Amino acid sequence: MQPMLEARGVSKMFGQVRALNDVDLKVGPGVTGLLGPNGSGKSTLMKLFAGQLLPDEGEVSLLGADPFRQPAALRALGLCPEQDKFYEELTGHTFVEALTRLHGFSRGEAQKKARAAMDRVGMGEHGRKRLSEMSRGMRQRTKIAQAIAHDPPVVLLDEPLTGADPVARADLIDLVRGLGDEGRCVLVSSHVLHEVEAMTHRVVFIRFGRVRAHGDIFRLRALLTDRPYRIHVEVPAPRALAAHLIALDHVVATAVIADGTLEVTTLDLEAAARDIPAAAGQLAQVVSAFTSPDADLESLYRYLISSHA
Amino acid sequence: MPDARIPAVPAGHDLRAAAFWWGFQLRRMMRRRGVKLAAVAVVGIFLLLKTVGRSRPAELGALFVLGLPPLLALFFGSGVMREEIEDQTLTYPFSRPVGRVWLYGARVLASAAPVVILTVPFAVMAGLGLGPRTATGYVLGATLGGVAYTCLFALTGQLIKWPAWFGLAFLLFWEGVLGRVPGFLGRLTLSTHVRGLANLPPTEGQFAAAWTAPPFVVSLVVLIGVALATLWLAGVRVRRKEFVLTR
Repeated sequence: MQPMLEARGVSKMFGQVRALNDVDLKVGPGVTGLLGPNGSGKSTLMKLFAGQLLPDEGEVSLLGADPFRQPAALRALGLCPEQDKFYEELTGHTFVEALTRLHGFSRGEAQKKARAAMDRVGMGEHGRKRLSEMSRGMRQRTKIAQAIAHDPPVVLLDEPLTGADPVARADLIDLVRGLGDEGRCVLVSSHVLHEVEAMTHRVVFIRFGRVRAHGDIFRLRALLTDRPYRIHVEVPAPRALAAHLIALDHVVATAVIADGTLEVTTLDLEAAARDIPAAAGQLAQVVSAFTSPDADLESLYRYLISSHA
Repeated sequence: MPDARIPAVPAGHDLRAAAFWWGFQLRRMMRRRGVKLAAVAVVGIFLLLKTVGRSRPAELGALFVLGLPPLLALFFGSGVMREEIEDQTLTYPFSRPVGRVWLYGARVLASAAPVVILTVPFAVMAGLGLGPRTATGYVLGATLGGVAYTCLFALTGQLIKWPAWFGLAFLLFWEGVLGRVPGFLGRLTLSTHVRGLANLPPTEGQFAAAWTAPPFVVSLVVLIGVALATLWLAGVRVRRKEFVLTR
């Protein structure tokens, strides 16, 4: 199956600075998180996919077409740019409607689609407000509305949660997941890792213009065999459980870190998930919590951006 | 689930989108403070010349057909894309399925509109004092001249870093000096063809007596041709250019 977004050997220079370096990437339906520190090349990659920039080397494609040279391909794209810039004098609704009309819709169709998109991002009641009078969160939601109003199969969201309040963030996370569940290809960049994690488990890590890792967060973490997992197990008698677990091959260390909490360091998360509850069962202990601080996106991110490999 | 293919573009989409974008940009232009200030200045100049200066219709015609349109075109035309780059709104139209040449053309013609709107009514008022035929000539001269100058200065805005200075020098030395020279050299200027359409020959200067207007059709073709050619050239440049909008 053809990927919806594809970069093949893409490099991009800005003067002497290499923003992207030989990037190969395929993105299919569903939500994919694009992660990396500032200046890592995330926005450059987004702009290449959106036909705003041309690669110096390699090729990018949007549903098989060159988005820079074939503007017709942009019918399939919705772009929420990073910058908080608008036609300030317009109302939110007029802004979305005007940009939707550029996709070839009549005035009536564009109005209908703009209204539906504003409703979907929770801006239905505020659509008549001028953009200059809106809060940052409202502007952010309006910017997302213009990206999805024409019902595109590919949506690029560059830092879409910036400025949104906690309630709006939760709503927008649901919205992004919903877009992915509908079968759209959604590429979303963000600095806020737990928000990306709430949207998707499929991520692309980018650093110094190179893709460092790409795939499911749990599979990626499992590949890092030189980095053991820490597991926090809450049981009534952690010391007794520790003595039992240390005999297992995959367990590297155990430590009681708080009253009733045992930290187990293991090389095999899957085996630990099987063996720890079994050991607790043999000791007639009830496991009340089982978490791994190293299995989340943040720990993976920290590892990948601190690694020089 | 949306179709994971590129939707077909309806026939004539670029033209319709450009027409819509022209109207959209025109409304934005007319709301700008620069346009409002220019309107106040132009009305003031007209009233001052008409009442205090007691200028003759031909003098008013020369000002509103030959003098003001290139200056207004320089003001409104030379920074066409710069504004969108500076305010970073260029991303919105350029991420839509419309050829950049069309979007650029619509934007430039929207910038030409205030040039025409701010000069043609006064040119008509001046021309009606000399008869409907003269007024028609003034309308044609101010309109086509205003559009051609705007397109030309918009092109320079795409090609050079300081288009306003270049434009001033162009107006002073090329148009101002060469435009008064009779014969072939004079016909290389836009002002000669605007004069020809509006029937406004130079009344002073060394070559005034020897000056002859180019044929009407030639002036018409030159002004329309310059407008279209400069639009197209700049449009091609915009189509090929990457606009790096930084935070």
